[in-house]
Amino acid sequence: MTTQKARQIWALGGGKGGIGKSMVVGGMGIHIAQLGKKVILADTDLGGANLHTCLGLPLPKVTLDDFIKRRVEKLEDVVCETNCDNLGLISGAQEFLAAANPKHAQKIRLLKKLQSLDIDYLILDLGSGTSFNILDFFLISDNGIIMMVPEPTSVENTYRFLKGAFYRRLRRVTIYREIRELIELALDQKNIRGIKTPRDLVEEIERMDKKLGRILSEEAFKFRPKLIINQVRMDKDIELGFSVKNICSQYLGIQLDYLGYIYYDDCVWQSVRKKKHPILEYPDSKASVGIKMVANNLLQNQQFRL
Amino acid sequence: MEKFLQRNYYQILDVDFRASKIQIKRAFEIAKETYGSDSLAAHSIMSPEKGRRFLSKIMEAYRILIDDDSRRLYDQYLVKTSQEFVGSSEVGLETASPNGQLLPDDTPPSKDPLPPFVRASQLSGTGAEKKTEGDDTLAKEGRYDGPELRRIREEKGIGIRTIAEKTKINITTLKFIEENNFKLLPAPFYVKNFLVQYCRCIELDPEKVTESYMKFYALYKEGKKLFK
Repeated sequence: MTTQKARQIWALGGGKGGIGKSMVVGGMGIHIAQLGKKVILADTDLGGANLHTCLGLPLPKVTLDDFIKRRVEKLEDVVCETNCDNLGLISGAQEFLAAANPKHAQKIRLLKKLQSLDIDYLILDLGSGTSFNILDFFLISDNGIIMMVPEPTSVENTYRFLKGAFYRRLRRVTIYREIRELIELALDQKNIRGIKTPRDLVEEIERMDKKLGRILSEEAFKFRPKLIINQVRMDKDIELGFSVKNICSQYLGIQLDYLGYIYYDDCVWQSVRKKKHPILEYPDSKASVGIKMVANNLLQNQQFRL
Repeated sequence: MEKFLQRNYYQILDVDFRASKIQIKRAFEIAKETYGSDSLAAHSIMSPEKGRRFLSKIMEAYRILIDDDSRRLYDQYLVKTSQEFVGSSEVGLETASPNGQLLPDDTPPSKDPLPPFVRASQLSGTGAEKKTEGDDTLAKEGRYDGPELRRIREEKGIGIRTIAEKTKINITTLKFIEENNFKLLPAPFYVKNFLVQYCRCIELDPEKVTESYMKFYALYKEGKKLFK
């Protein structure tokens, strides 16, 4: 009734760096643009913005930094053209790291402008880590996607990311000091109350105050992050997605949707070397097919099934 | 964690109440893989000892649910003991003994007629044609079923699409709720959550509505068994 735009924001993050997030963001963007939708990719990676390289573009002249520092007034002015129709790129701030934490007001302004872009899909490349900036972008998106690779380090960081995002979300919806303190407590893994997981936290709050507990468990239920597994080498790696989903719902109390997997594929680094995206260079390769599958599942709002 | 051990077998296996044998088997395989000793998914998040406790509970759940007879008994037990489904028994449900024991096989089936809102068409494959009486307004004293919710929603001029957008609940699921299509609805836990969000949108008291609606849901399950 108020807004008629069917715009959607997707945000791709992940606890660990170098697992191919930018590559997948680029691939999904190209794929959806090829389907005739208007897409903009935004690189909000604080540390190492390199989405442009994944798309085979030189270092852009204007970046997010120019917008944040108000050298450019309109966000539209920092959108660069790419080699594909319908696909735009907002490049990551090169000096963002120096300004590491944009001020709250700057962040709000950026978020508002991002949300009002006149396009079909906005895909954010969040970069790795669990800083508040990353979590906030993750939480404002319609689809918060987390990516991992089948390695212990990455799995561990995935849980850390999910917990961090969950607590931050709960923290934002509650104004009660006791609850906020409890959340702070929960962030410390060796806390005295024995709160180890979001589920423990919600149960603990329920014990303190039934009504509040129910509000929070509804909030918990609405938090539905998505999972992608990248660099899959064998069938067992595909199954890992189901296992992580199971642990999230049973143990952590987080409802996770498993979107699908992308095969490890030599053609990816071959095309990176050539500064071209594999989805354009090798559209039928295993990796490209995986990226398309994941993007399609997101478009249709469904999960991966065996 | 403690609550995990109190959850029912369907929740433990992470399957729906209507899950087929194949689905149960598949869920069990995933769970075995997930909580096994060399699991990549579990290693950084839970201690091996905790994993073993999960696993033994999962085995127990699987053994009960994979066998038709024990599953039927367990279902009966769930319906009879579950306090949240069966509140006061004003709609003709026999009060169950909530002592939490598996019921013997020869429990005499209740002879009560089906409550009016369990429509014959929803009891698939039974060919039951029990006529129902007095199937008028339900919502008189705060009794909410699907069609009643729909009536209220329409009265307030709120489109189902609006609710779907606001709550992010699938529109088909919302329709199932409004159609009393219990057969196709997910497990009670989810339905309850959906109802609360639904109520928010049409400004009804979530507590009253869920209590009433979940009673109908429970009665449907009970009624289905009467036909078996």
